[in-house]
Amino acid sequence: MQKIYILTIMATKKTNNLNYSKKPSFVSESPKAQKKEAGPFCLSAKTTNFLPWFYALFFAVLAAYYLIEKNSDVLYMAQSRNLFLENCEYFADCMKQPGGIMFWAGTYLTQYFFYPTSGACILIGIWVLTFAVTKYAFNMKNGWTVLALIPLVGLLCSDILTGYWIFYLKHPGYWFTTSIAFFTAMLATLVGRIIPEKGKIAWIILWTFFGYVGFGWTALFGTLYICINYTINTTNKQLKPFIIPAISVASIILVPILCYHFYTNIRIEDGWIVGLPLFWAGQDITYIAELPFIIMAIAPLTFAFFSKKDNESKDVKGTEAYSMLVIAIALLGASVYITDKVNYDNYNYHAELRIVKAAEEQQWNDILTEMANIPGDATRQMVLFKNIALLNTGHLGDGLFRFNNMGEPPYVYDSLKVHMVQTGAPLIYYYHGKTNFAYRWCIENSVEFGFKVQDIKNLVRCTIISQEWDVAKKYLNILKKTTFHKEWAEHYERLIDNPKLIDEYHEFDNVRELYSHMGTVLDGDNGLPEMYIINYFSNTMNKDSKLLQELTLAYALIQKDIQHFWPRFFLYAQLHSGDKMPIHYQEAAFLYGNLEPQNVDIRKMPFDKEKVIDKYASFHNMSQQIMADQTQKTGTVDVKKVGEIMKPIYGDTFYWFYFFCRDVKSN
Amino acid sequence: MKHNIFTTLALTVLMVACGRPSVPGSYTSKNNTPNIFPDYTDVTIPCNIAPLNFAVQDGCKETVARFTYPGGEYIYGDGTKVIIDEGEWKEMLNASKGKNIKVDIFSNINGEWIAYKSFNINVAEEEIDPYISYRLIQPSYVAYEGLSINQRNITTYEEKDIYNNMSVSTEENGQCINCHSYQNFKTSHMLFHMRQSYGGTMIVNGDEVKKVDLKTDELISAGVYPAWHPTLNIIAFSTNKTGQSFHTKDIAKIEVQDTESDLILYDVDKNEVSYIAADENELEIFPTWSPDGKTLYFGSAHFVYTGHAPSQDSTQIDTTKIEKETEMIQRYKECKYDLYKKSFDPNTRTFGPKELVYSATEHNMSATLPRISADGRYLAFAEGGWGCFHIWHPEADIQILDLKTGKKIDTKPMNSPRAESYPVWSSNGRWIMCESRRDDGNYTRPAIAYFDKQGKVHKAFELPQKDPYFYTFFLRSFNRPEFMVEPVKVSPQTFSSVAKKDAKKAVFKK
Repeated sequence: MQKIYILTIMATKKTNNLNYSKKPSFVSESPKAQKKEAGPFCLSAKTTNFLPWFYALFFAVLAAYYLIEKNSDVLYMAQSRNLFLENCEYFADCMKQPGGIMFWAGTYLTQYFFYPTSGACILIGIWVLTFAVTKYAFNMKNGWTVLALIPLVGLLCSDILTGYWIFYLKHPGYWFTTSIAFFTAMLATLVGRIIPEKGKIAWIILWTFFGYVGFGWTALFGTLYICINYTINTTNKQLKPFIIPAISVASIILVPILCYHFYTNIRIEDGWIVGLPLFWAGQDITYIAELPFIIMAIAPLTFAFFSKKDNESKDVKGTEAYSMLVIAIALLGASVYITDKVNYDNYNYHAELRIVKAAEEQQWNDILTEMANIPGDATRQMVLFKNIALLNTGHLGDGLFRFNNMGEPPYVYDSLKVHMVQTGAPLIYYYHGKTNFAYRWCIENSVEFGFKVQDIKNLVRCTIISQEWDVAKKYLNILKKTTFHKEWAEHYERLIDNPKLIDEYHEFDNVRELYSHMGTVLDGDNGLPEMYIINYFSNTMNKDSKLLQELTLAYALIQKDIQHFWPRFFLYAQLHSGDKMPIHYQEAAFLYGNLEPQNVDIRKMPFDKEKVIDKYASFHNMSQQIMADQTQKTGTVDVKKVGEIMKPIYGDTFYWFYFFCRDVKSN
Repeated sequence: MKHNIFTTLALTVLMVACGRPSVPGSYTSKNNTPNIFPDYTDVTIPCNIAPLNFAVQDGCKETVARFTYPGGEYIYGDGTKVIIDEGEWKEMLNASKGKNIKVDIFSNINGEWIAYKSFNINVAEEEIDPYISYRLIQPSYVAYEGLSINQRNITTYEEKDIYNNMSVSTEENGQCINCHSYQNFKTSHMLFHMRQSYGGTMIVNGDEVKKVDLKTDELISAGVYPAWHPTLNIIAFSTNKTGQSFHTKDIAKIEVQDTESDLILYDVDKNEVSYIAADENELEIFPTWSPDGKTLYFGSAHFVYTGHAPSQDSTQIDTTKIEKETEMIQRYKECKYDLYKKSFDPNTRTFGPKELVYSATEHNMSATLPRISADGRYLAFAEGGWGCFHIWHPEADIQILDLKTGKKIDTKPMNSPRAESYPVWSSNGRWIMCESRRDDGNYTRPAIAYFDKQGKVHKAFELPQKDPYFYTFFLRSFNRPEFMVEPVKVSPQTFSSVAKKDAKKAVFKK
């Protein structure tokens, strides 16, 4: 984007040169101008008429780039973490708080991110329409309409900065709601401008009340816009000058107080910010993420100063033309710069979203491809999904350490603490056959953040596995009331009506096998799913299910517990008699046999010479060599550094994992 | 005759004009009753209940229901729904007191009309208390946000918040609300608890609304499960150390267990608490007063902690020391409650010794949540395999013990194969309401059953809703439904404002 910015400046310079030397075609050819060879800098009416179109196009392209090109995965997740129901009860539910229409419409439109491009086009359409309405609402001079982009850039930024807040926001339809509310506030301002003066008082009162009920805090700003627009731009006022400001201020103060007595679920102190997205999760509060909304709301307070005094388009000359051009260039440049800066482009974050989608669709190879392509360390959630993908593709024993296992914490730009239980844990638990824990976290998260399509789909999966058909049907009925998940629901509805068909639904095969071979005990994960999964499976022994047994062996390896490893290793060998022993299990057996030869005699085990025996020997030699070098140079051994040096060659072995993969913190 | 024809024609024209459906001219008769939701077939209802709207679930596209009552008939149909006009419903109920309304259902399946076997809606002569209140909560485990205690006028569909926790605090400062309770079905004296942020017990004492903190150094917790004395300004509470643990696979999903619990008495006027029962080896819970206020009933489990993990080998003693919480988790199926009573002298405000009323452990069961009928003769309670929180136990049912004969009454008509819990009697003793997970096993709905003068329990029906599919799409549970004879008059905003004030600390009296 920086290149585009530079090009814009270059083009601007070129344009300025043209103005002075060659009289470009857009410079007015008025008789006055013809008289003076080098008159003041002038933007013709024709040119300024074109500028709003240019600004709108510029913004649309910018928004399309950042939404569609950069954030499609986020938009898909946004609709997945949304729930709109096509019934009256849902509308009534939305209306139980101020801003109800905004929430209802916002959640409806968020559904369209199911096809991210479609949803993005609708959102951009709303913004472009808002730009047009803003222009007319304040009767802005064409050249100054660039200012009307400020709130829109704020809205664009608000939609691409969320990052992991996507899992913590308690604002239904976040991606659309404020845009809809702002658009409506602009419409109200337009009505406020064109309505006869006698009706303005009624309009302000009506708008403030019904606008607040429908759109929350933005409506209060709408009232301010109407007031300022009137105060500054109405000449020949019939009303006394203080009347409209007084009515406006009184409405802004009193309407939330009045409404507090109709609503039972808002705090009086929040009355004036109802509907403002709040980035609050427990003790983590991020005010900076609210800045775009504040800019969006405050910027239009100045627009009335850039109004046309009459409706004719005129040439803009001299200082005004200069400042118009300079500010336009600066604003457009700043828009690109700021948008790029706030865009949450952490690779792991986007990869996690894509991985969750792939896991939901059981596209296991996509997960492995994603893991193979990460530029740095993966997050723990990605590692767990990778293990699930390997289990489901039958490559756990050969692939467990082929991918990155280090566990980078989720990147956040603030103090937000990302917990796996609120992100991918329900699906992770589900694919481990722990449906009760998956169900639990879906419900817990729904209590905190509201029910989402993603939760309900997980609840359906869990209740199908546990054969709770009636409650599964309930969740499917809910999904059938959405716009884009009906088909998914209908696919499983057949199964609910005839549970015997479950054998035809192969997507449940592995989970059913794991689930059916696990016992039930009273337990708890203390909010740490990875620790729980590792402990649970590495402590489990099962000989009836090959799948579960392999999972117990794999987690015994991850646990690095020699005592747990051997019985599971021998059981695996027994259950897979005649099959080739996967490489990581061989590595573990060879390593443990060498570390504790007194426990198990590995001399007769048929290890792969090249991949296991020789590799261990070279691994051992190299590590000894590096440590000797380090000792010689510094007198101490830096194990972390040794690991880093050896990683390119041995990072895909259990040997490296055992010795160098340490201090991994789960979330 | 001519007049009748014209009248019929005029009525038909009027009905068509009003969009009222008509019974199909030809149909095939079936021998079974229709599958309707909620199930209102052959139920007995109070003569002042809201219309029992329902939906026919047989795959039809269109349905017509004919309600025949002593005064005539009405026909309804709206797709698969049967939505009854409120005025006409009242007319039907008034004319059918002590009798029944016959319902014929006609369904259009694949273009062909079928007629199901008729069913009756029996209308009792006795009214039901016009209001109930409940907490609306997702069937959650530990999280809480967006909880509300609501009151519903059950003679209509009107529902209002009594208190909503979002009006006080959210996020880290979130507030759990629970255990609404009334003195003798009236709302002039009522209470509910708030936990965590702005915690305390909200008490309405006539015109006064106050927040008190019942936790004193002597007690294991603040007051939990309450029972307001029917005439005196005193409240019995249990105090509980409650924990939750999670089944890894069982569809029960969760166990809510007390590791310690006692009974206390709170004097509302003096702001004093004192012990009623505090036996170290007993887990006393769920106090409830007899209607005359002279007896306190409660549940109690005899549970002696060993301090050691149970051994796999019965001949060995596992010497590993464990905490009470851990031991309770490991021995949770051993924790079974029986029902007891203590006599109470309202003049001296003293309790007599503990007497066994019903031994559930004799049948290897656990009985909790006792409630006494208005005439003092019947004891309703919830019974499950173990523990005290039966709404999470699918096998749990409502039981009724005739205290006069000492025998249990057949309660099958009001129970379902899924969990039932929290029975409450109406003020006239003719209706029993309970929590039921009969629909899907996960979401709790209020179910109401008629209890006739002969002591017979009739088939229960779910609380009627305007939209028959309400329960299908509603993702919250109705928790702790209680009868009220009048609505709560204190506004939610007043409760919020009192909630934000500091709680007045109760004083412990030895």
